Amino acid sequence: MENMMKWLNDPVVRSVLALILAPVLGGIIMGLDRKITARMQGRMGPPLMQPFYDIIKLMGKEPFVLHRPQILYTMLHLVFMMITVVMLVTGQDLLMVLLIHAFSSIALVLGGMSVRSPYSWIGSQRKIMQILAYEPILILLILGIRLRDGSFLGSAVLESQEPLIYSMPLLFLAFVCVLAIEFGKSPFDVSSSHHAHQEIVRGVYQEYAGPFYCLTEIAHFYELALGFGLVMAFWHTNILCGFLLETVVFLFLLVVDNAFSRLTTGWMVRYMWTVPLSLALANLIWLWR
Amino acid sequence: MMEWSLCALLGVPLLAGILSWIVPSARVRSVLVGVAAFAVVASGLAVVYGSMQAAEGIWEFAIPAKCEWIASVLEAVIILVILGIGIRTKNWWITVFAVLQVLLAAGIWCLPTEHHGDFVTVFRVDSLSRIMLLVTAIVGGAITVFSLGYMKSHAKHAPDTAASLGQFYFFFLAFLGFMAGLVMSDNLAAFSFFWEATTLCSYALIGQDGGEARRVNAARALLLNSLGGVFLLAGVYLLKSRTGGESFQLLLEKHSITLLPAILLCLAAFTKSALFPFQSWLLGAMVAPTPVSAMLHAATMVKAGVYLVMRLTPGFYDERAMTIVAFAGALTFVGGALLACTQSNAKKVLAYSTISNLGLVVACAGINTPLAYAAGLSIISFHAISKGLLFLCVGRIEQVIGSRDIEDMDGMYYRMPYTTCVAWVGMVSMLLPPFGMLLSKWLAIEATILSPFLLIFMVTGSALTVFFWAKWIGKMQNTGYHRDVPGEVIPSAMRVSLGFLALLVLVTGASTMFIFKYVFDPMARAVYHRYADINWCIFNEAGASTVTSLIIYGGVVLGLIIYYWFFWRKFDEKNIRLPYLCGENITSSELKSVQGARSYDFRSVGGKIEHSHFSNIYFHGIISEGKVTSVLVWAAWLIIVVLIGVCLAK
Repeated sequence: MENMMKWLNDPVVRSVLALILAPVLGGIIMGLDRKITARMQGRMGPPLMQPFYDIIKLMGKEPFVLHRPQILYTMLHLVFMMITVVMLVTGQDLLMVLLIHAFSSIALVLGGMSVRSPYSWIGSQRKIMQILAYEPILILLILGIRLRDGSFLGSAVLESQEPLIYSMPLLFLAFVCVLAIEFGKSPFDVSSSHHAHQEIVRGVYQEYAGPFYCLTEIAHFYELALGFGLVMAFWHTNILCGFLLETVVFLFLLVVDNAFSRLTTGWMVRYMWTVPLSLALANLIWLWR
Repeated sequence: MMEWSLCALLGVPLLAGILSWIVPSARVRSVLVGVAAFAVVASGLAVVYGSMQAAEGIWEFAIPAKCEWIASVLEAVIILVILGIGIRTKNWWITVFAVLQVLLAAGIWCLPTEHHGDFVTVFRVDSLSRIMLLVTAIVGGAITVFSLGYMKSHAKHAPDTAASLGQFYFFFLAFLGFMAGLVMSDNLAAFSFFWEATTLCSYALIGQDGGEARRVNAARALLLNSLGGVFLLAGVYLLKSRTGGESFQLLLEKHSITLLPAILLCLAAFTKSALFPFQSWLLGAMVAPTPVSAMLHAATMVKAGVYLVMRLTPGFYDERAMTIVAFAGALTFVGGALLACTQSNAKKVLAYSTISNLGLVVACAGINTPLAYAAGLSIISFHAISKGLLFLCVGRIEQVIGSRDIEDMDGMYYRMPYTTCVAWVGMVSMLLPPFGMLLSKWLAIEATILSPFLLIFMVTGSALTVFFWAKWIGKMQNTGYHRDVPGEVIPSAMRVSLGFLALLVLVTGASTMFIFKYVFDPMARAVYHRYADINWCIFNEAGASTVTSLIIYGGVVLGLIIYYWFFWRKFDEKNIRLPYLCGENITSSELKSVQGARSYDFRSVGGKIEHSHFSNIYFHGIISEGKVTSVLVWAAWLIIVVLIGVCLAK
C-alpha cells in the first residue's frame, strides 16, 4: 500500500493515469446524463455505455473532411485539453492551466471558422461569445484560490485542510453557471446542443464527421471529467461530501437543462457579466486580506 | 570600438536619410536605405554586445562638460521647427504648446547645473536600454527593408500631393536613429531632444501623402505630442530646479525624483504611448503608409512612452500615485480591447490592440513589483515583434486586395498563401501558448493580485483580447478546399522581411520561458534588489514554471506528430466533402460550369443559386465606438485630474 501511494505520487504515473481515466469517467458521466435526461422526458434512454459505443462506431467511419487545417484544429483542441488535464494533476500554476484550457476552446472555434459553412460559422461565433462570458469568472475563481491559499499552484489547494467551499460558496455558484456553459446545457447551449437539431444544427461541431468528430467527443469527455474534477476539488477533504456535492451539481444542471429553453447569446453575456460575476467579486472581497 | 558602433547607430540612419533625400536615382536610394537598415541592425547588436561586456553590464558614454550645450541647442532647434509648423499651418494650439516648450526650455537652460567632474554622461546602456535597443534595431530594420518593396508600389498609386520618396526615407531613417538615441540617453537634455525629434518625424511621416485627411491627422499627432513635450519639459524643469541633477541615473540613485515631476513625466509618456485620453493621434496615424504605422506601433514612437515609465517607476515609490497610474493603464487596456472588438477595419483593430497593450505595460509599471516589471518588459518586447509583423502583413494585403476590412479577408489562404501564413503566425502569437504575449498576460494577471481594484480590469481586458483575435484569425483562414495553392508573387524585400519577422516570432515564442528566466528575471531582480519590503515569493513561484512550458511544448509537438502521421499523410482527396447546407448544395459539376459559383452556394426556391454569407460579430447597435470613446476619454481625464490632485495634496 505504501509503495502504491509512493508510486501514485510520481507525476508521470499520475499524468498517464489521468489521461486514461479522465475520458472513461467523462464517458460515464455523459452516459448517465443521457439516461437521466431521457427518464426526465419519459423515455427509456440509451444504455449507460452508449457514449463509448458511439466512439467505437465513429472511429470506423469514413474520414470525411472539408480541408486539412480543419483536422489540425480538432487535434489541437484535443491536445490542449489533455495538456490541461496533465497540468492539473501535476499541480501546475492554475492560471496557466486556465489559459491553456481557454486555448483548447479557441482551437475548436478556429476549426469551426476555418471551413466555409454557415452553421459551423455561427456556432463558432457563439462559442467565442461563450468563452467571453465565462472566462472572467474562471480567472476570478483562480484568484480567489490564490487569495485563500497564497499560491497559484494547484498542489497548494490539495494541501490545505479546509475545503474550498467554506471560504468561497458564491464563487462556487458562479462556477456552476460556467459549468452549464461549458457542458452546453440550456439555457446556455447557444453554440451547439446535445438535444435534437436546432436552428444551427450541430453548431460548432457541424462539419466534423467520423473519426474527427470522435476526437471532439473525446475532448468533450475530458472536459466533463475536468469540470467535475474541479467540483470535487471544492470539497477535497472528504470524498463523500465531494461526491455528494458533485451529484447535486450534476442533477441541478440536468433539471435546469430540461426546464429551460436556450436563450440568446446577448442574454448569456449580459447574465454572466452581471449575476455570477458580481457574486464572484463579492466573494473575492471577503477573501481579501 | 563601442564609440564607433554608437556613432554608426546614430549617424548612419541620419546620413543615409540625407543622402537618399538628395540623390535622384531610385536605385541608388534603395541601396542606401538597404545599407542603412543593415547598419542599424549591425551597430545596434554591436552596442548591445559591447555593453554586455562592460563592467556590470553597463556602458557609459561621456562628453566633456563644456560641450553639454549641444543637446540643449539641438532641442531648441527642434522646438522652433515645431513652432514654425504651428504658425505656418495656423494651428494655434500647436503654437501655444510650442511657445510653452520654448519658455520651459529657456527656463531649464537658465537653471544652474551641478557638475560632478569634467565629464557628463550622455548615453548609458543598461539592460533596459538593451532590450529597447534590440526591439528598435531589429524590428525597425526589418520594417525598413519591407518599406523598400512597399513604397515602390505605393509611390505609383500615391496622390499627387504626396511628398517625395527621398523625404520619406529621410524622416523614416532618422526616426530609427533618434529612437535608438532616446533609449540610450541618460542625460535629460539629450533625452528631451530625442523625444521632440521623434515627435517631429512622426508628424512628417503621417502627413507623407498630403491631402486634407493626412494634414488633419498629422496636425493632431503633433498637437498631442507637443502637449506631451510640455509635460516632459515641465517635469525636467522641476527635477533640475530641485536637485540640479541632469541625468536619470543620478536621480534614480539618489531617490530624488519627487512626486510632481514624476507624474508630469508619466503624463508625457501617456501622450507618446497614446493612452486614453490621448489615443486619437495613434488612430489617426493609420492614414500614413503602412511601414510608418508599423514603425510607430512596433519599433519606435509609442515604445518611447512606455520606456520612460519603465525607466522611472522602479526609482520612485508612492503607492497612491502609482496605483492611479496603474488605473490609467488598466482603463486603456480594457477600453482598447473593447473598441478593438467592435472594429472590422484591420488597421484600426491593430491600433486599438496596440493601445490596449501599452495600457497593460503602464498598468504593470504602476503596480511596481518585480513580477509586474518583468511582465511589462516582456509585453514590450514580444508585442513589438508581433505587431510589427502584423502591420506589415495588413499593408501587404491591402495593397493586393484593395481593402483593409477584415470581412474582405476570407479565402486569403488561396489568394496569398505566403502572407496569410505569416500573418497567421503573427496573430496566434498574440494569444496562443507558448508564445510570449500569453506568458506576459499571465504574469500581469498574477502580479495584479496585490492590487484589488485593478483586477476586474485585467480580467475583462484579457477576455476581450482573446475575443477579437479569435474572430480575426477565423476570418483570415476561412477557406474552401483547394488542391493546389498557387505560389504568391511577392517582392523579395517584402518576402525577406516578413519571413524574418515570422521566424523571429517563432524563435522567441519557442524560447519564451528561457528568455524570461535568463533575461527578464535577472533584470527585475537587479532593479528591485534595493527594496527590502518586496514580497519575492510570487516572483519566485512564477519563475519556477519551466515544467509547465515543457508540458506544453511536449504536448503540442506530440500532437503535431500524431496529426502529421495519422491525418496529414493519410489524407485522401476523395474524402473531401462540401459543407452542410441542408442538402441544397450546388453540385460539383455546377461548381465548375457556373460562372462565379462557390462551394458554399446553395439552391433556393426555384433552383436559383444563392450565396451564403457569414460575418463576424461586431456588436453593431450594442456598442458604438463614439459613445464608448467619449466615456473612456472622460474617465481617463478624471484619472489624470486625480493624479495631479494627489501631487498637489502632498
